[in-house]
Amino acid sequence: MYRTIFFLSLFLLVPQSLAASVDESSNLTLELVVGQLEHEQGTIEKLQLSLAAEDDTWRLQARVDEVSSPELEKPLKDLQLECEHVRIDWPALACEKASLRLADSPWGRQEVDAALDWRSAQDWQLSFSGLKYAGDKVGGQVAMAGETWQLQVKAGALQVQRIVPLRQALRDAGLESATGVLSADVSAQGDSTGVQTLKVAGTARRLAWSDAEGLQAAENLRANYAVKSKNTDGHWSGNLQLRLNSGELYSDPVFLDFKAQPLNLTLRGAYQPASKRLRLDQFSLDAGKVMQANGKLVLDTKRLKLRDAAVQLKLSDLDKTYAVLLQPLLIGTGLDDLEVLGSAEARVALKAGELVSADLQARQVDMADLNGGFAGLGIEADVHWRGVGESPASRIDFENVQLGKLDFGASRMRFNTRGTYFYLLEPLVIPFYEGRVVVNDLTWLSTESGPDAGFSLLVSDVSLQALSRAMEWPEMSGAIDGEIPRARYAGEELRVDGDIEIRAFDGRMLLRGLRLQQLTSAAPVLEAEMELRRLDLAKLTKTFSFGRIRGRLNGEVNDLQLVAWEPNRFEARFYSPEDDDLPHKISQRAVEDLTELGNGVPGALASPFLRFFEEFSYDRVELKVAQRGDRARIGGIPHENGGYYLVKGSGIPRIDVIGRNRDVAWSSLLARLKSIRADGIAVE
Amino acid sequence: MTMMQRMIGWPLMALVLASCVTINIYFPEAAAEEAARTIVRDVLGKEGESNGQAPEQDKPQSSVQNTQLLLIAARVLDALVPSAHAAAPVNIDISSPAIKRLRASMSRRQSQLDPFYRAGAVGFANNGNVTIRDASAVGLRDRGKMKKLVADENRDRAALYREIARANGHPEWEADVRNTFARVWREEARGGYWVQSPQGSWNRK
Repeated sequence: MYRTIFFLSLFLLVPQSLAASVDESSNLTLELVVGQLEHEQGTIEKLQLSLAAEDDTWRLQARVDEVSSPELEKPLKDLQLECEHVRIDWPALACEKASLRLADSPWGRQEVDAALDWRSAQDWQLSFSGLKYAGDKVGGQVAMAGETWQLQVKAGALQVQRIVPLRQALRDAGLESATGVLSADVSAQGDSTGVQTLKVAGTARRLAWSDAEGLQAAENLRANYAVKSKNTDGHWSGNLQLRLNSGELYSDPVFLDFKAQPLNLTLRGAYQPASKRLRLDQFSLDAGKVMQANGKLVLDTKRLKLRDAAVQLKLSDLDKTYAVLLQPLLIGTGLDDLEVLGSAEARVALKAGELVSADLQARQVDMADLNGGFAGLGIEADVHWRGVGESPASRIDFENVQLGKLDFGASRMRFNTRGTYFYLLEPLVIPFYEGRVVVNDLTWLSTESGPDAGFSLLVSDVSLQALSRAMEWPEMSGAIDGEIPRARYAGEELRVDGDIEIRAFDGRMLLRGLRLQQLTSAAPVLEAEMELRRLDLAKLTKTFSFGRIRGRLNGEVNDLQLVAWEPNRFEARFYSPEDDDLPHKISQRAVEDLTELGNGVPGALASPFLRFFEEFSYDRVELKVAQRGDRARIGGIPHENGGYYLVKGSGIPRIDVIGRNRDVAWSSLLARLKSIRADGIAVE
Repeated sequence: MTMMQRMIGWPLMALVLASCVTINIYFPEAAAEEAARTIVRDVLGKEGESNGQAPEQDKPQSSVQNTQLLLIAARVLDALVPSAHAAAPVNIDISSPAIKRLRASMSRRQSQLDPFYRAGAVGFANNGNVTIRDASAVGLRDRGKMKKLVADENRDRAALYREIARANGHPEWEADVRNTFARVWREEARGGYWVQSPQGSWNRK
């Protein structure tokens, strides 16, 4: 705009090369009429100029039908300039109060008051007020001193949607509906080569915008801003200060409420037009406890990409950082509903668009999944990552980790990172229910399709009693030992090689072929096979409030599939081993329980004779259950009459428990099992 | 029969017989629709029951037509080849614990999603998911919450379709289950909800 005013002033007030006709009366009047005036910067159509002498001053009246210029979006129409008192002291010229009227212009109809003090082409000053622009009346001053010009413009309430270049820039960014009010105090200085310094400061009020999808939107923003910049041989340098202190911003997926947490941004840097790079020697972003960041950046403005960076982040309240910044970014993952406490600091460096190093320090961090999935308490971390070469050793110490109902004790993890790869520097020893879990090997590779992790571990001397109490199972005694030589987690699936041995009930149970799929979904799937060897039935039945059976038990559970931790299918067989060293005895109640399990009818031992005996001898027990959905098929030792023995008796009196029903609903079988556990059977 | 005819004929016969067996295991569209309607009405609550009376006028989706064509083909082949098994009546089981858990989770979420459905911000997409169709229909503050609800709902819906297929012993039915649900969600949507037609256009119910 200053160029246009400058250009107009040249045309209208310095008509050096025009021919003139003069009429003379009692007072001297000069009149000039020009049909057309052409200049490389534009064209003037029909200029009428009248200069009348009144006492010691002159009265100036000028009228131009049209002024057009390539610099003007549209021509100036019907321009009228009037000055009642022009003081001429050739070549000096001054008008303290002039009025300029335009019927039409790129800024619409204008009525501008102006004052001019012209001493020479190198020494003049023009001030103006009432220039209508973007819904506001703008005032200012242009001055020439030697080769240097100065421009000052003040605007109190510019309407953002009517500032054409700004509206265009916002449109280019996809923000169609931008509104708001802007005040600006502009001060610029330059010479014939262009602008040398530029300072703009002001406030933005009621700023709002939205893209078509509503993914980038702001409402009622209020900001103070100040920009200072300097041009040195085509290189711009300067600084920006911005404070957002009210209003709301949604930049998918992050929502910021500046009233709750104002944001201060300070930038100092330079722009290099040749390489189209914006170099920020110092940038500082202060969002209070949510985040404080400072450092250096180089931005590629052509590709709109961060090129180089050295940034320090201070997250003094992770609870706030998580709520405002992290949770929205984690939506859809298993980490989008956490409570996080503590603080952290991070350093990140980028070179040529690539991440070259990252360091994280976390202090006194407690985090918990609000859905009860996991928790970690007392976490202290120093994690280092380098893009090239070996990274410094990293550590994560924690006081306690919970996975579901499982509770792991304090431990220290030492590891190293290399590229997208992570590995342990020393075995990770985690106390676990009076025993321990030793993770010998843990690797983590980040791939495009998600993490690909592997581990091997040893479990030793874990108390089955403590574990069963924690899991709210019937209390069992014994210990768990096991080795997982290799487990791999990839594509939402955890696959475990090797056997987990559980020493319990004086025997052992082997869990093998463990596979967990869709771990983060609402219905995780677990597949495994189990082998039971020489369990002491007396201890087992005591634990599960089942009638007492003495002897040993073997078993196999094949093709076990749990969906959402409930059995979906399995094929199980439990039976007396051939070389049992314990006496085979079964109590009255156990007979009742087994009978009920097989038939759903209690009270099998109604005979007073049989009730006389506390327990009976048996040859073998066997139970086969094949479950698939809600269908379960029960079997045992084949019986010649078509049924099956659950208990094949021996001695006198001999008791056989023979099942007849083969197909039952799994839900009712479960209900029967539960009722046995809950109530027991009173044998009369 | 010449040697040539035999060489071509036997594999063709084998193919026809094999086809018969394959076609008999068809997706039980009607049973799946009934199951889907039960679940959808349960999730959407009582108002959904009164809304679902008028099935939509859209032509059946191509997958349905394909199923019917296959069914007809199967019946023709059944008549031609006596050894082919008759298609047994199939029920869709929706009683597995995983399905119950997913239904409960979706029912709990429904009351939170309802205002977003009514505002037109979230709609029932034609792929059986919910989708944000106009984020600007809700305040900036609620957009993150809406995004999370939509992500959680879609995670449950994906798991539900997968579980129904798996619980019924045919994991390969997942896409058919999803298609059936997409239609039933559309039909059962409450008044004021936005639904996407199979052709992709959005309409307010």
